[in-house]
Amino acid sequence: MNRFVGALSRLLDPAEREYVCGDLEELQLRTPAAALGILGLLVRRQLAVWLNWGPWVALLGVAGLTGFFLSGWVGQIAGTTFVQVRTFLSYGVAYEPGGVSALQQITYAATGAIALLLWCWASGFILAVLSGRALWMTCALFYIVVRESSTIRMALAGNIILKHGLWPALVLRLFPLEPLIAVCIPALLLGLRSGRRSKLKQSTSFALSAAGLASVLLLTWMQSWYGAGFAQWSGDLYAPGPFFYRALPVLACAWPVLSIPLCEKTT
Amino acid sequence: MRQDLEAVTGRQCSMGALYTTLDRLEEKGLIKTSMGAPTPERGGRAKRMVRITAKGAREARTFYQAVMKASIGAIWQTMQGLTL
Repeated sequence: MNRFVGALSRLLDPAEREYVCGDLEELQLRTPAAALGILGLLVRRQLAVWLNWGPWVALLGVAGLTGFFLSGWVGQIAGTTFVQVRTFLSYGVAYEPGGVSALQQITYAATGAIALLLWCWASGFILAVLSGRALWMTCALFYIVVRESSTIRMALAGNIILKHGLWPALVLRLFPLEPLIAVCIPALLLGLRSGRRSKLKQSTSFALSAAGLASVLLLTWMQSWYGAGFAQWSGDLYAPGPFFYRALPVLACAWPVLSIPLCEKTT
Repeated sequence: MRQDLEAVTGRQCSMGALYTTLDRLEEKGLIKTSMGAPTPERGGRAKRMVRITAKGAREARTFYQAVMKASIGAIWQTMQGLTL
């Protein structure tokens, strides 16, 4: 068995690698045949994972739904912070749109950033618990959706003009160059590690879930500050939606943290 | 095991097909596998040992009897590699 086959066999589980490599050694297969054997096994293992419901929930629920709304949320928090900091540095005053005070904006951005970290951790945890061997795929898709979907949405809606076109922007956004994303990635990785290796105590899982619920209620309530401001600013042309409808996008981000007590990995 | 299967069926049996089938049988409780001792001809690596369980033996017997029952009176003829 040469180095190439040895490297390929590292994609297998450690226990499985032991007997698969032993079989290849005993059969004295040539490199192409041995590599094909391992690749076939890997493909079958991946396909078998998708016969369960867990990876599908991770793919559609976390990578798709949560990733999509988290993408917008990251942009919103980063945008609010950027405008506030830049206005203060350029003009020495606070940016107060539609009667929302600087203190309210700081409170909203700080709560949103903390919630974002919690949601990213919980998304990683749920991805690891549900995905099994498909984790590499669901996790990569989650990251791509979080990074790209808001850009695609805004570009298609005509809300942003990209100087070099959509594709270069999408490729560039894959790199975690923004401070908020650079903080979110460790949270996601910690969540993945917790989901794969350890079990959460029931009290911890309920505490996390309660924090998730608090984040939903607080952020939905805080959005009414902006709603009232916009209503006043537009002469009541813009009316903020009811609490339940405003809570839906936040719930889409927070459902992984709310569902932690239902996971098997809690004791 | 793979060589035996290939000899009996006359068809190639891939490593992936064999291992995933063994996993399914183990999940159903029909076989039990364990790691054997490492041997020099395997490069110092262990072998996966397979043992049929009582439930597996029962299921195999039932399956064999069902096939035998369904085959009573059937004529099996092999011509030029085709089973008719």
